[in-house]
Amino acid sequence: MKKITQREIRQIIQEEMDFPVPTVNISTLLLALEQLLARAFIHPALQGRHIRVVLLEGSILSGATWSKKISFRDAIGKEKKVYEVLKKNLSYSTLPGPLENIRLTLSGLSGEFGQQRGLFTDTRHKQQLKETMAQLEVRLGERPPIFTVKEMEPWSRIPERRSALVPYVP
Amino acid sequence: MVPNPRTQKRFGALRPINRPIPIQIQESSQYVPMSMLYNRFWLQIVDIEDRWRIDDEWWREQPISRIYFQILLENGQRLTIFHDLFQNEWLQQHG
Repeated sequence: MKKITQREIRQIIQEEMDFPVPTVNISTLLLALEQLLARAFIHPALQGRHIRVVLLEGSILSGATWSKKISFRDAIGKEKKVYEVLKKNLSYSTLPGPLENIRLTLSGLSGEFGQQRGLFTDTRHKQQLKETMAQLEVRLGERPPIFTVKEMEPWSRIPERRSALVPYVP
Repeated sequence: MVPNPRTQKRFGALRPINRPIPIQIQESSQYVPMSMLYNRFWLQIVDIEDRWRIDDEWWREQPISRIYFQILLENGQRLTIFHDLFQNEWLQQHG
């Protein structure tokens, strides 16, 4: 007799971003990944859950694609922790050519965990801001045009490469 | 490496800031700026305080080749402008 088991639902979360100009710079890639992770971690499917695998994919200017898969020994549930692992993995890497865009895929989602609310004011402010932005998104029908300035290539001789506006994610 | 599928992109991008703004310049035969259209008036460039050249991103279809000038207009305004040698146009930029 065949044993009946629950169908496994493989859930993934993907976020993508174009670079204003193709880049070979790891710092620019990391800045983009920081943004993508921030976006991914507000995804409802990831609330209170941990991930085990990160897949990075991008288009190279020459027409090829680049990809890198990073698996964690222990599932990670914090955006900053994931970023640190990616940073450590990519710091000594070189890209095979100028990347036009980057796609981040989070997979290997673990089961739900209890979510404890923060005791600290800063966390509460962030939560309020998050809710305000969610309300704005409903009213506007799109992500509210709120940006923050981030350094991209502060050493660049080309002024417009030094900083960029990135969508603000509380 | 696998071929790029070149599928439609559907994601937000980093937005560069301090993008150059096209301007109108009257230049000498040596491509030195002489006067600039500023707030609908042609103003003389009374001094070129600095000049530098940037050649970069040679691997792109449109490489960067610019001659920057820090100029002083007759009204006392100090601006940074550049001649885009690739597009043959004049632009203004901060910093």
